[in-house]
Amino acid sequence: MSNIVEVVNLTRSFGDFKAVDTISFTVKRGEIFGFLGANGAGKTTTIRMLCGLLLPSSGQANIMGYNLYTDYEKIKATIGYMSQKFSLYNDLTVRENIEFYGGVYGLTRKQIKEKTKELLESLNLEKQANTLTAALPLGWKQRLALSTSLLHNPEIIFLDEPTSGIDPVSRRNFWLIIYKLAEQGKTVFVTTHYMNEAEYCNTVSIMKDGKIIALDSPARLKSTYKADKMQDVFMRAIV
Amino acid sequence: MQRIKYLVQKEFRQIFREKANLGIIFLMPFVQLLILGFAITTDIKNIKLIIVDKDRTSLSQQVVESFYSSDIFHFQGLASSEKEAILQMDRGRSQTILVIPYNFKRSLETNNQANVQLILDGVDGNSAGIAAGYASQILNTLQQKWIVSKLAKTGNTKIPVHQIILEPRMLYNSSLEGKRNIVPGIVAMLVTMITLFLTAINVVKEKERGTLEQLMVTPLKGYEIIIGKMIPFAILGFALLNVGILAAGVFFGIWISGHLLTLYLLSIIYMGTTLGLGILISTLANNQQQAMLMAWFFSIFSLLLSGFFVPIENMPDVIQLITYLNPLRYYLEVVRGIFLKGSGLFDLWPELLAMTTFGVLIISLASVRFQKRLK
Ligand SMILES: Nc1ncnc2c1ncn2[C@@H]1O[C@H](COP(=O)(O)OP(=O)(O)OP(=O)(O)O)[C@@H](O)[C@H]1O
Ligand SMILES: [Mg+2]
Repeated sequence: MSNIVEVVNLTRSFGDFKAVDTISFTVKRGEIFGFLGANGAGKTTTIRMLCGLLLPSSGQANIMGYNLYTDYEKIKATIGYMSQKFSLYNDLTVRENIEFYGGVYGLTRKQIKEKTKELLESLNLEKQANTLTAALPLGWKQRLALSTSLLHNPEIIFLDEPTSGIDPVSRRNFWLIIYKLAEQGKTVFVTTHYMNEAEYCNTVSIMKDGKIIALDSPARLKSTYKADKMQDVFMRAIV
Repeated sequence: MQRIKYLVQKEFRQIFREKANLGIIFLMPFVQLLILGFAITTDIKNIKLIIVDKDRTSLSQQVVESFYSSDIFHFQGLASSEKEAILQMDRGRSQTILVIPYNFKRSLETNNQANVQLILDGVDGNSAGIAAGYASQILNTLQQKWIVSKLAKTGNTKIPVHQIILEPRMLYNSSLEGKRNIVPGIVAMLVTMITLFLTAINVVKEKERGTLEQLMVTPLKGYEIIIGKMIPFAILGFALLNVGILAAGVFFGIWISGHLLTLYLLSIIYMGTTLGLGILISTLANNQQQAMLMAWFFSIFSLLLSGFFVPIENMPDVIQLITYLNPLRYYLEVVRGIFLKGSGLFDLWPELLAMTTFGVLIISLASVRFQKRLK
């Protein structure tokens, strides 16, 4: 089974408005899947459906072979999710946030302790362990959020605009973690508005008004749209 | 179970982190209890009174003295005429004026009957009514004293005497009973408001910040989130109940006469309703303002229809029927019963039954609405 996500004709309407309009795609295990689109294209809505937060209006989806409608509890145990809003508690310390999410994901006290140590080391946050999360720079916050959403060792992780609003150096560091995850065989499903980030993906999907209008590897998209950069591909695709 | 433990721990950390929170949670109720408790009772105690004594006889003097020595009226002095007294009332120096007419004594002695006039400031109709009631009570007592002494003078105790005893219909028989009803009522109200507001606002806050979405993708089940949210606020509500019990005793001398454990048990059952309602509100509201508004709406209605301000027997029949749908009605009964009458579980089983039913219903409804999948 090389497809970790299979989506067929997925649709979600809000009243008469179709936020996601019969989209179909597959995500291969271990790839970095870039999910692009202008504001309001339907990216977040799609991710929320795949994470079981939102019921689709129609269509089918499988994640790791689990049906979205029926095996939803099993799906949750195998996915990680970082929402578009900041997903940690600002009024908890770094350590408390890690402990909380670890506990909620069913890690033992010992595992939580080990994970916390490991995580603080790898993020270089040992000194800030007991400061309030609110006090961290945004770039660090986002890396921390990513790390906590990986505490339960998910197979696939959905990242909704994880790098929006953070500086180029932090963005680069963030993407280094994404690469590392892909190397470890994890699947990364990521939305972004930065086209240079899209270059790093294995597959890119471009959404417009709820529909997928382009879906391929960056190299092939560039040749199709006769462009040098993903930036131009994007501009040509969505007009 | 373990997951719920982490949720509760997190909740407490957040509550204790914000020191202002704790102040609001524990100090405000304290202050409210004091202000409300004293305000409601002092109002009825110190009704400003001016007397116009036109008769100036020994009997009229006795009338003046009995008003002067009353706790309920705050005697401001004598006025020479009604006109002057009314002027004082307009200036706010008096809420009531008692006018003893000329010939008061003579009329009493010859006709066995005399009239006095009571002028009330009707702006505060409630106080005015109470003042009128107290005034007639004082005059009544005086009248009885006169009759008894008159009988003693004639030496003939066998003469059948028909005393006219006036029974003014009053909200409160004496100032003491008003306080005794109000203070336990405030305790019940505080438990209601704190648990309801804190739960609703807490969950909506997580919704606003997006952390609720994050919680929903964890393996936490819907009911686990609900339980994890209810436990901390149940504990806070319980702590607050004890603060209230203590304050009622220390400041008002009203200690519970029934069993503390009965009050604990029934309070916890009642909190099921308010906490569940808080969760329910959070599923309906999109932001904190909406949640506040809904919680206010519920609080006001349940207070008005609980018998806190107006005894339920005095309400119109239709309204009386509606009060049966009000959970606070039963809890108020419980708190007052245990506080004042020493009621036990045996007396309070209908309330127990009603509150349990409400709790189960509302928590179920909240759970259904609080689905794991956002709408
Ligand atoms: N709960 C909702 N009710 C009604 N409309 C909604 C709801 N959620 C999303 N929408 C609408 O659906 C459309 C797609 O929204 P979505 O958040 O999926 O876009 P997006 O691609 O993530 O945009 P962005 O880049 O701004 O995050 C938008 O027009 C949005 O207003
Ligand atoms: Mg979005």
